[in-house]
Amino acid sequence: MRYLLLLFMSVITFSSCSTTTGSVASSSSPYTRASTYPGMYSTDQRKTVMIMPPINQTVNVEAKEYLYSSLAKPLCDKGYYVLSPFLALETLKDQSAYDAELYINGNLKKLNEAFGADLALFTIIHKWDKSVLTTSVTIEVEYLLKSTITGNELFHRLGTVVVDTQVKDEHDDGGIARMLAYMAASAINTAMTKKMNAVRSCNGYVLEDLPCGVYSDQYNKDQNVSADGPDVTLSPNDSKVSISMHRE
Amino acid sequence: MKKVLLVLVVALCCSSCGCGLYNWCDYEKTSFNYYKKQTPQTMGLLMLTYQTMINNQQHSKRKVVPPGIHAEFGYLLLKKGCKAEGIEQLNEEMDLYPESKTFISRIVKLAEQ
Repeated sequence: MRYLLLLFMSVITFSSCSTTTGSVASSSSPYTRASTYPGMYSTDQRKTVMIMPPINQTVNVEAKEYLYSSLAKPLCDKGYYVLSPFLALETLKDQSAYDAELYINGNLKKLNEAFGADLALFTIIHKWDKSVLTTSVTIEVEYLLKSTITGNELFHRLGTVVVDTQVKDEHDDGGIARMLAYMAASAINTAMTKKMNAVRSCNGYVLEDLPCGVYSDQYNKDQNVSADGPDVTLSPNDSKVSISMHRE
Repeated sequence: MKKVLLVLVVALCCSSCGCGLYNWCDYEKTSFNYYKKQTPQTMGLLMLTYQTMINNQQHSKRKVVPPGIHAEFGYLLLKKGCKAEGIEQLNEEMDLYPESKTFISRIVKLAEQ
């Protein structure tokens, strides 16, 4: 029994350390983080990020919630201080300034004055489609990081991710009951977990290129790390590769 | 045997995200659930996640609580009527991350009124 427990603990330890590795094109890309996002390195004021409520250009109401609640973690893991999205949202709501459209092309200095944010992250959801025939979800999100001091655009990327939401049945031996159970499992699975994973993958891939923040030991040391370039749109096949490379 | 299993479950929960800068435990899931539907149940689960995160950073790279967690926990405590504990958490956020002062001190001021 003791050996069994030991084995179990070992499996936990090793399975938990899924790695977030470099980007797909890291070995062949002509770009570096410094050449692609020079503005990020020319200012010391890039410590605190405020995540603006996503601008949703799709009919899927949930898309905004999924994306908004998933952005803080990857930015913190990059080494930034991220203002709590919950608290920021409550405050913006109190001031009737909930829509990011009000800010994206406007003066951002008030975000610096009221929240202490150096950077504002805007996201625009262009696509959030669920294909019934192929049980896949396609997500396309544009990420735009702006300085609240100068208003300059410091980071701009577009991510497209296609995720197969189907539950794989490796022991499919037919039968209606089995098929119904399989379809139900797919439906539940699609409902939340896979969408979250798709959003996480999209965030993970797009923000992989973002220069590290002040709490990372790579802060101001990652200028020569290869980057995928400023305007990369991933094809579905590429994005599947990227998904498998990122922590789920 | 039950105790051993409990320890294993906690270890599984916390080790599954302990290799990055921070240990996030179940934060993404429970925060999304609360954000989507604010009920006493979703609030309770999110507060449990905050407590677990605050107590389980020893295996993370920075060994400190991630940005915003003390602040969110404090805010929910205030919402529940636990004023002193809520303000304490908000102050923890400002101590740990001084850059949060501009924003968080405003919430503390409002809470103290």
